[in-house]
Amino acid sequence: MSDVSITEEKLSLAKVDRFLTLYLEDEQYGLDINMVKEIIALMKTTPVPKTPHFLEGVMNLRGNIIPVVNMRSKFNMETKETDDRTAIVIVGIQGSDIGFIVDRVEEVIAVEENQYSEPPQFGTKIDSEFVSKMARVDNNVIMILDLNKVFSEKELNFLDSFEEEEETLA
Amino acid sequence: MDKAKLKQIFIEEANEIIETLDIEIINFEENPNDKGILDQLFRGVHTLKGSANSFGFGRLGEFVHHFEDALDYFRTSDDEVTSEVIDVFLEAVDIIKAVLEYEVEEYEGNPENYERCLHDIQKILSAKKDGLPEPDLSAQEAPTGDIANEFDENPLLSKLENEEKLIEITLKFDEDIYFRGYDHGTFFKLISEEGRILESTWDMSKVPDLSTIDIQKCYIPKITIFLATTKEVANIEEIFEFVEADEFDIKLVETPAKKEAPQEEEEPLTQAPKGKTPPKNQKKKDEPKSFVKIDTTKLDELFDSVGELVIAQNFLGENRKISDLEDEGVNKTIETLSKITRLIQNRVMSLRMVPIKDTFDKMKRVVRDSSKKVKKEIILDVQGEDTEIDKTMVDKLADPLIHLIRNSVDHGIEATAEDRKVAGKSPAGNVSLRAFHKGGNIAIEVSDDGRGINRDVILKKAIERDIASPTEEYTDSQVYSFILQAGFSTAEKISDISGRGVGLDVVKNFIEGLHGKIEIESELGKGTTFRILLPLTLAIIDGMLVRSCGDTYIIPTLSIVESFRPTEDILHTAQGKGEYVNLRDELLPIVRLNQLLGLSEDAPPITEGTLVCVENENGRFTIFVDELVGRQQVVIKSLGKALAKLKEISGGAVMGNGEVALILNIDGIF
Repeated sequence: MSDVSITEEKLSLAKVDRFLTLYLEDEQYGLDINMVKEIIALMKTTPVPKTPHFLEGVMNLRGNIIPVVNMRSKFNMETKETDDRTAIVIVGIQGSDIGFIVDRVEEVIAVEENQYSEPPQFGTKIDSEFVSKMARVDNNVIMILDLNKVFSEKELNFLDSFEEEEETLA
Repeated sequence: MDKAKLKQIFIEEANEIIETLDIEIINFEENPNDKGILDQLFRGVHTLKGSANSFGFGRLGEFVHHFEDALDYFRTSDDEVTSEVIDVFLEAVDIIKAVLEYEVEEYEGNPENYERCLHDIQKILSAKKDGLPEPDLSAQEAPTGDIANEFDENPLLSKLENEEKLIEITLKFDEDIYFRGYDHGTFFKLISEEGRILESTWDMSKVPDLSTIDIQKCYIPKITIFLATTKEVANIEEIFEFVEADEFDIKLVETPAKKEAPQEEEEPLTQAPKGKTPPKNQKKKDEPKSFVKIDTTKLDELFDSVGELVIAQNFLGENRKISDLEDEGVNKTIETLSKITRLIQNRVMSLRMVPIKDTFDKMKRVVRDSSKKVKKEIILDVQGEDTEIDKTMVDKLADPLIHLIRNSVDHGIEATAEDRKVAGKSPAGNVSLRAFHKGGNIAIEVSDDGRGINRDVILKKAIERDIASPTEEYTDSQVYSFILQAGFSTAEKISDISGRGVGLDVVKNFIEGLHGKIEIESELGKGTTFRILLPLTLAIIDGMLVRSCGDTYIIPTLSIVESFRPTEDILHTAQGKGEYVNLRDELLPIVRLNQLLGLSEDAPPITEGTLVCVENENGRFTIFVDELVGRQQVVIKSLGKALAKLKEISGGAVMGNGEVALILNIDGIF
């Protein structure tokens, strides 16, 4: 959390945060731009057996192998045919790079402090605990994702969550 | 350079010195007449003392100082270095290690045994000095002084060319020198005709204010001149033929290497302690190898990049469009590119390779310590120390080797020399350490000529501990492998060294972590051999590519015994116990890869696919795959910490088409 406060200090003059906006179905989400390493076009992943369903597989990112998570599966949305706008957002979480498959990425937006509001308690397609806050920019409502929360230390270890998944199934 | 960085360098260098101390001391015990080794030791300790004091590491400096005195005594006297003295020396090295840690971590107080060991060292010295017929203290001091000069090596030595020597001329002219018809200019001219004046230092402290100066008086009491010349000292003395003998002093500045030269001609220059450049005038004799220290992470980065280069190159080579061009020029270029890429890959690989000698040298001390502890006489035989091995593996190999050696000394060799005599063996036990190449792997063997493993005892214990089943038949190697299981120790008595039951399974885990395996051979009454097989490097393995349900997986060739297409007549199905294949009268279980990995529940007839027979600690079994794709060297990559716990998969490799194939962990799947 201290990282965030430093960023806020740095930008205290303008009081703006920057987010990469992306789409899942028809809803717009924002990702802290500081966490985004790069955006690449969808490429073939290798499925890894015995991992949770939302782990699409692993892929080769310039010689390094990184896991790729399907955001739709993670948020229990319906799967959708990929198209030429489907993208993989590479995000650095706790020192590891992880790829996230999203329907499409839009742009980088600046959000001023007075544009935030509390996250909704219901009515969204995804579990509201993954949305840290909402931002209203040019009449669009953007849900700011907290990936640190989505993949907490425990959940980063896919296997643990896989075991849990199995238990719930059983 | 900031202080923290300097400190880091000091720590690294200190550790390097300390590491060689152990080895040199053991070497010296083996060759007690080679005083050259003591010199080497002394030099290391001297350097350590200097840098410890300059960092304000008083405790370290103090201790090393006394150690140095003791070394110096034995270096300059003809006294025999007894085994007890060696013991003290070795303990001193341990204390130095501990003190260094205390200093670096800024702990309070002194490490355990600091005072006692210091006392032991002083006791050696005082005993020796008292024992001498004439305790000549000045003789004690003198060499130390000389050594100091030797080590405050004159930086001008490095400016010498070819046959030149460095001569120090000190002029102490009386005040009346001008009256006698000489002046400094004349001498300087004469001197410069004999060689090159590199430096002169004038003592101007006596020169008075200009207004009171007497121009006929010489106010300069001392001038020091360093001359680089090919002439002898006698030639230079001729210049001063007409001045008083006490007004000049000419001496040769010796190079440290020259002093040693008669003693240890064969010693490679590269072993000289750091910071001392070998004198240039020896250049013709032996061109010294030069070394560059590189951070291993930089090497790893380079290695990664080369890995990518290989992948990109493969991609080009496998590209249909390019091969369809049928253009000779293009084909040739691609072929050249592939050759160069392979060359670069091999060279980068070789950067990581170091001889296993350093690790083996450390084992000498282990054998010495552990044989003393259990009071057995052990002769260690070391072979193949030049065998090169991946640097990262060398570092990790020390611990398992220590374990195996202790195990051999403690359990392998008979308890007493009497027992050995009864068995018709030499009274001293033999332990040998060998490294060699074996079919694309590196083999490291620890063997002893001791009792051998008692198969029946092991099996009985294994059954008692539920590791083995009483009804099953086991091969010898399967029985031996039980001793590698956690919590298995057959030693009747627990000794300080091994036998706590946490021994050999740790070794096994270590070796498996390095993608290697252990084999045990033993003959009751004749001895035991532990053989560690390691891949040449951690980064690359030789793998068999197999396909199951459309996906490609890699099985490390090291684990593969053979692969074959089974026929109907050798296949068996045991009711409720799964499928088996009868391979030359051995009934092996069949594991269907697709079901094991949960890829699908399909169960096509075994005869339609291929069985790969593999071996792990639990024995042999076969893996059923749809087909074999081929054999290939692959660069192992980790799947990251998120997937590190997957027991079926040990990593991944990027294939020629840029996609990732997963490497099966044979030890984890059955």
